[in-house]
Amino acid sequence: MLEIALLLLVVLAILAVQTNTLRRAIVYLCVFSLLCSFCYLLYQAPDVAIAEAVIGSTLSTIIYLVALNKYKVFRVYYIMESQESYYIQKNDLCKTLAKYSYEKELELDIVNSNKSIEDIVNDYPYDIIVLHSSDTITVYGDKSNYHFDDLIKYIGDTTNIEVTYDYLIENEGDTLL
Amino acid sequence: MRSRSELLIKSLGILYPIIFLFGIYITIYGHNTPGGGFQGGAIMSSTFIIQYIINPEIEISLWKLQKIEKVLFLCILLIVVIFILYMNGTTNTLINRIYLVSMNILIATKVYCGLSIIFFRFVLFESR
Repeated sequence: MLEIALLLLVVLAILAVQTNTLRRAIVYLCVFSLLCSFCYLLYQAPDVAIAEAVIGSTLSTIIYLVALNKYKVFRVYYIMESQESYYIQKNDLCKTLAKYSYEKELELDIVNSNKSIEDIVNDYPYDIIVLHSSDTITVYGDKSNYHFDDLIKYIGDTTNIEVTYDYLIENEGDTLL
Repeated sequence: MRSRSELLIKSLGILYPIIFLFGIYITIYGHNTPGGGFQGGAIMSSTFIIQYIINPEIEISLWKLQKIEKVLFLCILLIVVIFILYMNGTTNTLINRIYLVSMNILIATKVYCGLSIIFFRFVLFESR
């Protein structure tokens, strides 16, 4: 019995690492810790088994799922420097963004703003910032945002809008507390 | 959590008091069965999460929970110090049992507060 459980643990660990979908990986991890607690029970440590079952498969799973849900909103700040024209280009870019977020199962949220980039970086939650000046479109993003590189590649592959991009470096540390 | 299923809410509503009672049982009988303060507190705090799933617009004061947690931490330290100073090496089972049960209850409440603070901080405030 113990050998079967230990073998299953290895299989589940490999599955959790190898799977493509994050949600599926979380579920594999949940089953993994449930089996772990079963192993503890077979090793005659019921108190550790209770702790593992509660924390491993309930609390951490739910917190992972909440984190995944938090990551689903894709917030784009759109800054137009000159207000007169270029609405066609903007429309195209927004359509591309919407397609991208649909493919990645994200929820697109475009905010039109006239603030400067520094203000947005300091005060607002953003995922990417698009700066639309009279002749160029520049997309700013974070190094830590793993959708950013994908998005640049997607725009380059599917449309013929000329887009340059740049990285913003955010300060380390959490200022919310 | 926007499209909550009726089935989930009803069944969790029935399960919720049972899980809470189970947590209290594990806490109180921790000194002679497997379990104890930490495990009981963790189980009880999972009921907090169920409460959130049933009703996401729940009103909660994190500030109060933090205060309670700090006071409980002080109580735990004080009780340990008093026990070591005055009753160390006692063979009276009743005193030992009272000490263990009270410590278990205090630790369970502290873990309950701490894990719910972590969860609600995470769900309600931390974005990005």
